[in-house]
This record gives sequence, C-alpha cells and structure tokens, in this order.
Amino acid sequence: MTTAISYQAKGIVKAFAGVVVLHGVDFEVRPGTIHGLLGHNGAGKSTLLKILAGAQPHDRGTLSLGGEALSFGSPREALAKGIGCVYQELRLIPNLTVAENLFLGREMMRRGLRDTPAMNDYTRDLLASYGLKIDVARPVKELSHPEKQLIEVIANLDGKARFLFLDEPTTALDGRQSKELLDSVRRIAVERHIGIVLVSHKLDEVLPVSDEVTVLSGGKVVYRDEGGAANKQAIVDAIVGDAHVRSGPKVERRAAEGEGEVMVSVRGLAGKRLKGADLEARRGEVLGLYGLVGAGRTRFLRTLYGMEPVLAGSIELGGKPYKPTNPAGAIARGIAFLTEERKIDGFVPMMSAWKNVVLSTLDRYRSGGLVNVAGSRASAVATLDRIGTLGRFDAPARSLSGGNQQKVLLGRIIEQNADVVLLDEPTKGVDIGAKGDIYDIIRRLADEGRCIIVVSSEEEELMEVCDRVAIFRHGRCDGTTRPIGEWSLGKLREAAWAPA
Amino acid sequence: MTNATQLPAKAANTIRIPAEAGIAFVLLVVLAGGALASPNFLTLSNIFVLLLNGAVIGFLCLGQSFVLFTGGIDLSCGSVVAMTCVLAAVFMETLGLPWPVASLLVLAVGAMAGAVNGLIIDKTGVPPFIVTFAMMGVAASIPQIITGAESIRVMQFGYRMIGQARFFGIPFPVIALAIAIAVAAVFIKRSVTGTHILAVGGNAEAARLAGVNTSRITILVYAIAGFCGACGGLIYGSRLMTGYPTAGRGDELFFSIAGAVVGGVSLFGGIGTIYGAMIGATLIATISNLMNVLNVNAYWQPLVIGVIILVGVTFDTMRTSSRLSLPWVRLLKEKISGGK
Repeated sequence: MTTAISYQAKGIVKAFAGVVVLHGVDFEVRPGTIHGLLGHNGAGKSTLLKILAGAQPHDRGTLSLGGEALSFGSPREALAKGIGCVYQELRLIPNLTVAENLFLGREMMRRGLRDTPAMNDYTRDLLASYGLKIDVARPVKELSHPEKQLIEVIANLDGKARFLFLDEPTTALDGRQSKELLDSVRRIAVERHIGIVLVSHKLDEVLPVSDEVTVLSGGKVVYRDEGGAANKQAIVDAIVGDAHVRSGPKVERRAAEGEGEVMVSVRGLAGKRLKGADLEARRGEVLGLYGLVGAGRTRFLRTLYGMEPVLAGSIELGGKPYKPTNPAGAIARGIAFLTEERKIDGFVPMMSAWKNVVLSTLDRYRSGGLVNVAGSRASAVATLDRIGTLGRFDAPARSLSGGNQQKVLLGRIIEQNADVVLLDEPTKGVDIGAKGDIYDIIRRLADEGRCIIVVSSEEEELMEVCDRVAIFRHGRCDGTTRPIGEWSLGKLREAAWAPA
Repeated sequence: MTNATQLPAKAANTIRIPAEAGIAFVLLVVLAGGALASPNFLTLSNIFVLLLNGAVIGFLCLGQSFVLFTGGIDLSCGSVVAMTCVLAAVFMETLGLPWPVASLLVLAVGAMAGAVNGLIIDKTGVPPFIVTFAMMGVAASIPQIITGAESIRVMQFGYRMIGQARFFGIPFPVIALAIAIAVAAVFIKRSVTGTHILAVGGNAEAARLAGVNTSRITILVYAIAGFCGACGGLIYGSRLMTGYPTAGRGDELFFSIAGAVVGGVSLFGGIGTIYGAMIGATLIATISNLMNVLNVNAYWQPLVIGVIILVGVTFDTMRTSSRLSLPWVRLLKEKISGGK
C-alpha cells in the first residue's frame, strides 16, 4: 500500500464569505482502497469533495499526487491527472445511448463521420470487462439508476481516472440495489487498483466496504481509522461530536406537554420519496422535525401543503379528514407554509414587500371589486413593523436583506391567520440578529394557540424554539415525539443516524 | 419597528422617476422633431388620423401587455383580428344578425379563441410561443376558408358607428381605447386579479404557493388578449365596412409586442405598466405616421421601426441590468438624497 502513489491533501482551508468551512483538513486516498468520508449536515464533506475533484478552488493548503504538487482550474484538469468525481446528479445525457455518452466530446471518427459501430464495440468490451451486460445502443434513460451510476463510474475510469469520488451514490437506491452497487465499486477498486472515496449518510452501507474512514465535524477531521463495522459506535460518537457542548434547552420550556388538542394527525402518509410518516401535532406548541438531509422532512411539509401527491395514508385536521390537493386548498383549510428556498418559490422578487405580505389575503381587502390599497398596505406595514422588519416596504422585495425577506414571508403567514403553520428551515440564510427575531415570532404564533411544525437542520434552532421533536429517517417517521427536555444536540444526531 | 418615522423618511430619501419617463421623453422628442420636419404633422386632424390608425395597435398592445405580464406571449392576436373582422361580416350578411348582436358575438369569439390558448397552455404545459403560433395559423385560415379569400361587403349602415363615429371630433375607436386603457390600468393596479397577474409573472411558483389560482390567471390573460384582438377586428371591419380576410395580418403583431416592450413591459413577466405599454404603442404609431407624413418610402418603414425597437430595448435592458451606468442619474439621486 505504501509503495503506491496516493492522492494527498494537506491543510486544506476554505472559507465562503468570511465563514470558514474547512479548517486545515488533511486527507489521503490510496489506490486499491475505499475511503469512507462521513460527517453531519454541513460538516464540510461536499466542500472537501469539490476541492479534491477540482470543482472549487481552496484558500490554503496543498494537493499532491505521489509527491507532485497539483492545482486544478477545473474538473477537466483534475480528470486529466486521473481524478474523477461522480456527483449525486448524474451527468449522463438521457436521450443518448450508453456508447454515445461514454464517448461524448471525444467521439471516434472514420472518414469525417462518427464511427458508431466502433464506439459500440469498444463500449461493449469495456462494460464486459467490468462484468456488466448492458445493450450499449440503448438510450441511457432506459437503464436503472444503479446501472447509470456504474456507467458513470466506468466512464470516469475509462477516462483514466485512478482516483474516484462518489458523492452519496446510494441516495436514490433501495437496500439491495445499494449493496450491489457498493459491491461492484469494491470489486473495481481492488481489481483495478483504484482509490475510491465514498461520501454517504448511510453508515451501515459504507462501513462494511470501507478500508478507511474519516469523519469531518465543523470543518475539521475528528476521527480517522480503519473501516469495518467494529468501530461503528466510535464513529457515531465522532459524528455526533460536540454533543457535550449543550445538553438541554436553554430556556425553561413550557410544561404544556400533551395539553393542547391534537390539531394535525397524520397516519402512514406516503408520497414519492416519503415512505410512511405518522405524526401528531398539537395546538399551542412547536413541533420540530429533525433528520438528515433527504430524510423526507421537507417532502412531508410539502405533501401536507398539497404540493406533492399523496400516494397513501390519511390526514386529519382538527378532527376532520383532509386530503391535500393544491396550495390554495391547503390555505382554505387554514394551513400556512414557509418554503425553504424563498428565492425560488417564496416571494415575488419585483413586487413590493407589502404586496408580498398580503398576496394570499388580498380578497379580504376587496370592496366593490377593487382592492382597498391603503387598507391592505396599512395592515401589511403594521404586521411588518410588529415583527421588526427593516427596509423600504414599497421597494421590490428582492431589495431587502435575507432576514427581512424572511420576515416578509412570515408576515404573510401572520396575515393568513392560519391554524397550522408549516415552517421549512425558517432561518436559512438569515443573519444572527434576525434569527432571534424569527424565533420570537415562532414562539408568539404558538402562544396564540396555533399548531407549528418546524423543519430544521440546526439542532440549536430546534432546542431553542421547539416544545417537542420527532425524527425522520430514510423517508419515514414513526410518530414518536419526545419533549425537548429529553433531547440534546448529541441525542438528536444519534437518533438521526440510527439505522432505519 | 419605527413606523412613525418610516414613511416621511422614505419620501424624503428617494426620488422615484417612473419607469415610463424615459419612453415618454422619447415620444416628446419624436413629436417635436416631427413638428419641425413637417408643418402638417402636429395638426389636430393629423393627430386624430394618427390615433385612429393607432387604435388597433393600441388594443392589440393592451391585450399583449396582459399576456406579457404573466411571462407569456400571444402570437395569434393579429390573426384573431382577421378572423373576427370576417366573422362580423358573415354574422351580419350571411346570418342576417343585426350589427350590435354580431359585434357582441364577435367579441365573445375573440375572447374564446384566447381562452383556448390559455387553456391549452395551462393544461398541457406546451410553451405559449408554440400554442399561440399554432392558433395564429388556425385563426388566419378560418376567414380564408369561409370566404374563399374574398372580402365581404357589409351593408348594415349602423356598423359604421364603431369605426367612423366621432364625438366632439374624436373618433370613437380612440375613445373606446382610452376607456379600455383606463379600465385596464385600474384593473391591474387595484384589483385582486391584477395583483395576481403580476405575481404569476414575477414568480409563478411562489404565487401558486401563496394560493393564487394560476390556471385561472393564465386563461384570463389570453382571453383578454383575444378580446382585444376582436376589438381590433371590429374597428377594421367597420372602418372599411368590409369583412377583410387579411386584416390585421401585417405589422400589427410585431407592433403590439414592440409597443409593450419599448414601453418597459418585460418579456420575462412581472414587470411593466399599462401606461408604459400604451406610451410605447403611441410611439410606434407616431413614428409610423410621421414617416407617412414625410413620404418615407414604404419599404424603409419597417426597417426604421425595427432599429428604433432594437436601440430602445437594448438601452432599457442594459439600464436595468446596470451594465450601463448613467452618471448624471446617479449624481442627481445623490444630490437629492444627500441630506438624509
């Protein structure tokens, strides 16, 4: 192992807009081995991966291949040095055939024309050498997801990649498919002497195939050891990390446990990537939903709000059955929703801040067919003022800062006067000062007797605003909620990482 | 937070130059230039000719603006003019309907044609460009098929009223357009639906999540565009007292889009005002008229208008994307807001 040329990174530092994401990370991949790269949401895995694959420049530190210092301007340059990366979103072009994808940009030519038979023959032999039997003249879109992933892996290797990074390769796969894919990857690594890095959230899949494991937490390497299932507890501890920093809610949490009437009751709700969620949420309390990215929390909220189809399950709102159809229907039933991506589906950028506030409730200000502009504006401005929004309310909403844009959307929710409030990452991209304000708004909404459901990936946030927390894992939620006093930052992470 | 100080501070801090000011200024320059170039240009009678000829473009531009506000486009409006112009004549002469009934029926047909556009766009997700492009062909063919490409004379004298009546010397189409503009402006600015139209154009997904019925909005704006096309068809038909199968199939479509865009309506939706669009349409109509007065060769006219549109829109695009800084505007703003 030591004789082979390895790909090394030393002291990698990376900051985005002054926020340091990686604090001097060392990392090494050896040929013929699989290196598992693990860490919690926002630990810096993706950033490290992109730097190593040449997709992003780093601020300080060195990359070297067998002692030769490297610097990449683009992923293409990295690939030229034998370093490839397969991202979660595959790069294959669905309507082209397997062979055409493999040769994209470097097609074989014969007398000025594309030599399809030669490319097909080459591809067939290549896939066969990896033990893959796929019709190379078929469009890629007709293949299964694991097949596509393997083809992308092979395409990288055929581009003479000696080191390969796989970002969450099993996210879209079920258990058996995951195992098949990882076994194939394992075989390729050993047989072809390729160094592979696996980034994943699924410990139970990664550990058995990894020779080596590195855990990142807060942009630092906190654990490094050999792989194998034996070290699982130590690895979970490392991922959970600074759990001791805070082990309980900061503020005295109301003793309202179980007091409010059940407002939302969900049984076996399933959708596209939601496999089955049970949940009860009560009036007058904030229920937090925690889990890893992709665990189904956002989909749960979006399904309740009628944005994603319900495939199975039942929902009761205040004791009456409710079937989500579309957002307008959800609003009519007293549900308000705050989106995670306010720029994509939150506010209307060129519309004034106050109009964005009353967009859902304009009908209320109608008299004789026309909107009472002064009245609706006054109401919106009063709401915005009450929650401490700063900025010109007559100016386009996009001219406000992130925190104030978020308050505009919260203002809309307050205007709606909804019984059930769904909040998806309510402080994403918001500065510290505005965060505190937003927590106050959320608490106030709950104290008014509304039922609040908050999805957040920030443990501190949940500890701060929630009365109870439920955990989502791999698209499921078993309906168990525990009062915030029984949770700690560490326990939350542990629960999220527990096997499904 | 500081409600009491917010409002006055706001008023003092910034000057708001309406977005239409630039294009209105260009219009004034063209009018002044025209007056200098020809004594016949800025006369009352020529102004009425200008406005009367511009009325059809004005209506089409009005309808087009509604569609553009939602981020769509309507390529079928010119053909709807032709279709409704002929259908009006058919209703009166072949079916023998009295002209007011025929006129109302034709307006309904125009709105229906537009609604079909909107319905297909909303239900299938086919891009508006394609759907209205197809409707352009369909609506253009119907009158040709019905009449065998012949014109139909209209013998009902009352029909003249629409295109040729004058009140206080002002042609009726101009008055009708003025009323339509006023209604449309109030509708966009003051009605719930008007706000929803701009919201759909500004961010359709956000509007949907906010509970806006986006399907209804889409169908409505195309129906309005179709209705405006039918208004154009009636004006043409009544001025000529003929059902003319190629009426409105010249530069009208081009001018309707150009007028709105020159007037500051964004092709991407969500931005623009009715007044801006109407000033833009007036500018196009004025330039067209001015070239007639100055006896510019007809072959040159579209070229001149094309260049004006290109320059105007390029200038506006660069201004809004801040790729072009206007030092005097910045200075002026600093000077006025300096005492903050």
